[in-house]
Amino acid sequence: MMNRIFEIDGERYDVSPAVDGEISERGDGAFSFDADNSTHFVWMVRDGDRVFVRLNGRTYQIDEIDPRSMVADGGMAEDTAKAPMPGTVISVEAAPGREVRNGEVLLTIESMKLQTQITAWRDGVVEEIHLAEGDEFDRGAPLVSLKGEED
Amino acid sequence: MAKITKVLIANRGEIALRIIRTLNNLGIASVAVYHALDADAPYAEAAGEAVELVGDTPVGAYLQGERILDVARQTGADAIHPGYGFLSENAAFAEAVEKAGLIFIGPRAKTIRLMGDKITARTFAAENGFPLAPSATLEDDRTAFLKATEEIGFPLLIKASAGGGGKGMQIVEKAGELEAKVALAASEAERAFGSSTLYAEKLVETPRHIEVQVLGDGKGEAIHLGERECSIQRRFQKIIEEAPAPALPDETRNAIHETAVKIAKAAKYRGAGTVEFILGGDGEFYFLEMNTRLQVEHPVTEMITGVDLVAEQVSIAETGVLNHAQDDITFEGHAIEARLYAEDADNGFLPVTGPLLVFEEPEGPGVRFDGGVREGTEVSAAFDPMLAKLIVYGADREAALKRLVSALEGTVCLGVTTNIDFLARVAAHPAFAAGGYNTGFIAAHEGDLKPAPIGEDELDILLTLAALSGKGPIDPPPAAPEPYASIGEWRN
Repeated sequence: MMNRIFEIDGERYDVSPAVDGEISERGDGAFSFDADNSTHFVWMVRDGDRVFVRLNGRTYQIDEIDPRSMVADGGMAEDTAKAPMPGTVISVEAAPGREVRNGEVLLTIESMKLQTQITAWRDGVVEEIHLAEGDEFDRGAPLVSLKGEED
Repeated sequence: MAKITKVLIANRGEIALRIIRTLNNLGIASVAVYHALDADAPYAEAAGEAVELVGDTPVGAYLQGERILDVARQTGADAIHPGYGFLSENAAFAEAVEKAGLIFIGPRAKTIRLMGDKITARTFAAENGFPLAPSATLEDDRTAFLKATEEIGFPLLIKASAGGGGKGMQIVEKAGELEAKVALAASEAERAFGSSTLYAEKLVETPRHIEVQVLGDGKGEAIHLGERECSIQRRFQKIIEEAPAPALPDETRNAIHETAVKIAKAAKYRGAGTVEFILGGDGEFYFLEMNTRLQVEHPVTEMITGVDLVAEQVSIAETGVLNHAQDDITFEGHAIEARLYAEDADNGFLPVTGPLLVFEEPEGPGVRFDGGVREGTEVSAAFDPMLAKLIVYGADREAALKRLVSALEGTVCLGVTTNIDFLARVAAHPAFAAGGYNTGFIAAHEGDLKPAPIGEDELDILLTLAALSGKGPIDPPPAAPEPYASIGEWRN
């Protein structure tokens, strides 16, 4: 059986699927957790692949990584521009199917009152514009994809 | 005397809720306005009535002065409280409110015009002889500029009048460097901005941001409610404030109070306002600006004076008379405020968005929590990322600081990244405990303020919890569990 992969503060850890501990919910995200003759009181919530834990007065964010995505990742990253921070789409300059040159403006976003132009990072064809004018987005949201390069 | 019976709050979030609380205490009805994104916000529910605003953008919804006046008329509100931000320092709005026959709970429009603008406020301060950081402007006459600049004293800062972003900026340490640096700054400014106009000002070293809360009757009488220390800042925004300011000689403290009151009197200031100063390491202080509204950090003043500033605002707006003489104001104990932001303190303090899935407010003696969110609130990029303010009170600074540390530990915010842990690291830092810090605090202690590496025991617990928290993307957990001790098989 495959190990599970978790990422904390940019470091990845393999965890055997065969884990156990005594965990009981005390309500509203509060848990008690028994391990090694001691009980820890923690706060925890899971949102999709992200787990938030409050342990000993410190907050942690743990991301579960789908082992399958690690294979696909390499190609994807170069083909999709992701939002560096949350913001709003001001205007969309490109359209799916259009051929674009490296440096051509694809869309304009506004984050923290600063406008930024998202430009083509290579020559290619626009595959998809993930957002429309006026849309709000979170950090990491896909903005625009170019068609995969044929080699 | 115009009796206020119903107040429309032209604001949102924690400050709207805080104003409603006082209105309830005073037996005054409240009207909230909200954009659809705030429909479930605690303040909209706490108000006696709530009316939706539709705008081009969520922030824009709260900036529609005319529409807000319509709501006030429809609901029969006789006064408008603008809170802070949004329309609070908009002179045209203050004017429109009074023209509509309603009471604006704040200063007169002309006072906002005078003091709300940095340049006119500076000119006003200079004309009245209040301390300003010495400055000079170079247009054509370089000889006169050099002479004026030497009178400012060293070190000084030369900036391009037209500029920003550090271009054309030079620090001049001593007289001998002046001419060469002026020439360099002028040519840099010319290239970058097409104008070689320069501006020189005294470089205030190790500056502290100290501000004074004032109340004025609008006729020339004014009192102060002590100062606040606001030097813990990131991205030029305050995140921790305290009252009284620690490590401040009484002589300086009294001089700053006195100056603030004189400024408020000279401006015939009406209502609650704040006079901001920069205090240099040499003990010299300079007028910076005046905020003609309630400040975010006003609760620390309330905690040590026992005065409800919103109640005072309402009372002055009604009667035009101050409730207290200066001698009635007494200071007891120490208060510290920490602002909770949805932001990534370990990544340039950038705002973050997301759902507030678990939210636990701190409790305990001497703990006040002014929040604007609840569990389930979706923190969006549409508004300011401040979620709440934690205010603690203690008999002295040491006691207040202890409570701050434990209250931060008792504050739980999961689902969206917040600065709670960062605030806790600041609160626990010996240089913060020592007091007398300046606005360079966060930059100076950047290394110390990073999170400590995760301990091995914690890591084991975290990975176990994460594994137990859900089924994971692929495989369900096996039927036969192994003991916890055997999971330390992670690698990185």
